[in-house]
Amino acid sequence: MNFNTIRVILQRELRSLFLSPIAYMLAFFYLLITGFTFMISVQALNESPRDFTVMEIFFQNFFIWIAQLFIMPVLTMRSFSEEYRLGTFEGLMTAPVRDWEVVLAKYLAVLAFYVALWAPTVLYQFIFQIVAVTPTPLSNGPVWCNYAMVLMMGMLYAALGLMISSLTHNQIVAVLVSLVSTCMVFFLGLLNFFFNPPGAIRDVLSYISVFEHMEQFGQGIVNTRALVFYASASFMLLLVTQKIIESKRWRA
Amino acid sequence: MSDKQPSRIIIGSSVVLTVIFSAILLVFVNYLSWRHYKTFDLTENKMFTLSDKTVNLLKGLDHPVKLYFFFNPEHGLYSWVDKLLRQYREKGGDKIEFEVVDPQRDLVRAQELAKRYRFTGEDNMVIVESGERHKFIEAQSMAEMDMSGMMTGQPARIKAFRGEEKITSALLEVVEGESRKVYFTLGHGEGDITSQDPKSGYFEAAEKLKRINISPMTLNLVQKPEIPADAAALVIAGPLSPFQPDEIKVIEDYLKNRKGKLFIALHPGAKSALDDLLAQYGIRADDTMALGAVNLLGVTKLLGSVPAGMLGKHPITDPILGQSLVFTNARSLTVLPPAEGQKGRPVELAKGIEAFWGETAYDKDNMEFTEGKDLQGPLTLAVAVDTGTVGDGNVELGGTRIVVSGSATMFANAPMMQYPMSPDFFMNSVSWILRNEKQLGIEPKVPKQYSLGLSPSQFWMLGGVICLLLPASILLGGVAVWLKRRG
Repeated sequence: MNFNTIRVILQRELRSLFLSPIAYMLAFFYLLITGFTFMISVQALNESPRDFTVMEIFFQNFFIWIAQLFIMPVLTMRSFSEEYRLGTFEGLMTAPVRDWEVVLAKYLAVLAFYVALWAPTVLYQFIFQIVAVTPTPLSNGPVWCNYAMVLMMGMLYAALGLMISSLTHNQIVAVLVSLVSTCMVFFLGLLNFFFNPPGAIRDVLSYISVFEHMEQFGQGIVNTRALVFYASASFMLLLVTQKIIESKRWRA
Repeated sequence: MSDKQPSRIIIGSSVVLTVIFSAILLVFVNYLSWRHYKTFDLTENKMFTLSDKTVNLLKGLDHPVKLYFFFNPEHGLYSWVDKLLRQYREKGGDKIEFEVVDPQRDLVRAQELAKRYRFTGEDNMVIVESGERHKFIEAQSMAEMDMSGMMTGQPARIKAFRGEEKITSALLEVVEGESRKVYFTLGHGEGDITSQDPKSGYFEAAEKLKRINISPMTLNLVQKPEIPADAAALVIAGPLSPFQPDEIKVIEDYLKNRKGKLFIALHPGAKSALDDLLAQYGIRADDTMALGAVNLLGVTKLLGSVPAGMLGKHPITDPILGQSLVFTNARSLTVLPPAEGQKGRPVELAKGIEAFWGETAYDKDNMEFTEGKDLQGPLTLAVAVDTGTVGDGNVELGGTRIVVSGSATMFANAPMMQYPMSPDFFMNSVSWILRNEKQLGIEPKVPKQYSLGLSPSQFWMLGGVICLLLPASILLGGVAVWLKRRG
């Protein structure tokens, strides 16, 4: 493995992500959504005592998770599609780099941006402490579980978006197909609520149910099942992406 | 990189093969992860962690246990019980089977279970089953609720969740404990546990006992004047004719020397010849019939079903306090003044409403309340005594326990179905004489409550920083980057 190659491509990707005005617009709107959601949570707890802390109520809000569905398709749509369209892909492919180094670097770049989007929310409780003078009641376990969930969902959605982006030259197609796919992954697990499938199907749906994972992690329970699911599914999607890139290279 | 260009077919099949291969791998890895998994509870007070007692019990299971999660998803305890049962399954491995039944949506399955285990199919509960034995744990017994917020429109809050204690003790009972035998006496016109007769049969009562893992048996003391060694308790369900001296001696001996447990229900007017026996424990069954009168259009109608209020501070009545219990065709009871050497004081469990009196001339026509002759209401209708009780309620183990009910008809099939409190009272009474509550010492889970006390100005300041300042600074950063790149 050549870390140096990955680092170089990663830097190139990060520069194009962090220096684009669209990225800042995205971050602006994202912070607006999370900020308002946080204030709604503060309001809720300020009105009446509850069994949850502010951050726990924050993560229970559906807005947060809907925003999650949209962000990754937008972040990943450019990854390959743009390079195909601009013709820079050939340049990259003729450079002495391996396919999976490209895939991994692009994946990490998207994830890094995603983490950067979420990073300010970590500050919320500290801002709260300073502005409100009174300390917020904290419950660190469940809060870090929620962040772990955010990261795992990001890993899966990013891998999915990346794969779809590697299939098309058209960014619009990429973003739409990604969005539909992430929504499908998300809502598949909800089928258990709407229908009443027999035992085995119920088990499978509940195993892959993002919604159930959110609920469980949100309460402060880490389940190895979910960890394995997100890690293995992301890995598989990246593997397929690498294969697609490889075939593009041959066809080129 | 390859020198030769592979053909399109090879490229295509290579991609397809990779997809297939990795999909198989994905399924395999995830199947393993589904089979072998672990959860870690990161909550502060370990809300979702089973106690060591439960874990050890689950690890030592020899026989499979099935847990039915028979709950409406809208029930306030649903997610608590769901999480709890999942932990049992996680820790119990292959030995624990788990079935979720939503009574509203799995109608067929719900009815099937309702039929098999004989319940209405409307209650929310967990059924613990192992082999032939099963036990029900009803939703309301699993948590202490705080209703104080209901007045101001807030939902009831869980004060303490006792699910683990209840389920583990049920598990212990179905796995280890032979179901305990309760003997119903025969031969004096008592309620028959096999009879479906609505007014005198005790079939329903017996079924209710099976629900709490008790085996109802019959006992004929005339044939063999002996109370079996495996008797956990004796039930005398409304005798109509007197017990023979030999029988009484056996029962007396059982109560006194074997610290026996007795549930006795009485009919008005019936001579059971057990009066002396009851008197030894400070209870007298009055020779009365509890009656009330209503005047309808000038015609006086007598009522024989007495609505009674539960008296508190007793394990039998505490769970059903505030509910009304109906004593049908009852006689009143009197607690006698303490006698020398008597251990344990009888405790009154239920009193009829005031308008009902104890008619002494119940075999005559023209019954009405006669001052001086009849007993004035409110009448005492059920009494419990525990000779192990010491003064202020500190319980000394191993006492004789007796519950006397002034009505035997109220536990017959029809009233048991008609009045919801009849079965509750009956089961609570039998549980109490058997000391059915296993003391496991599993602590209930108490949810922590949080609150904030922000003033409006603090709130708006916080909102300003988080919703305006933070996003705006990002936007400014973006503009700065853009300007720099242009410039």
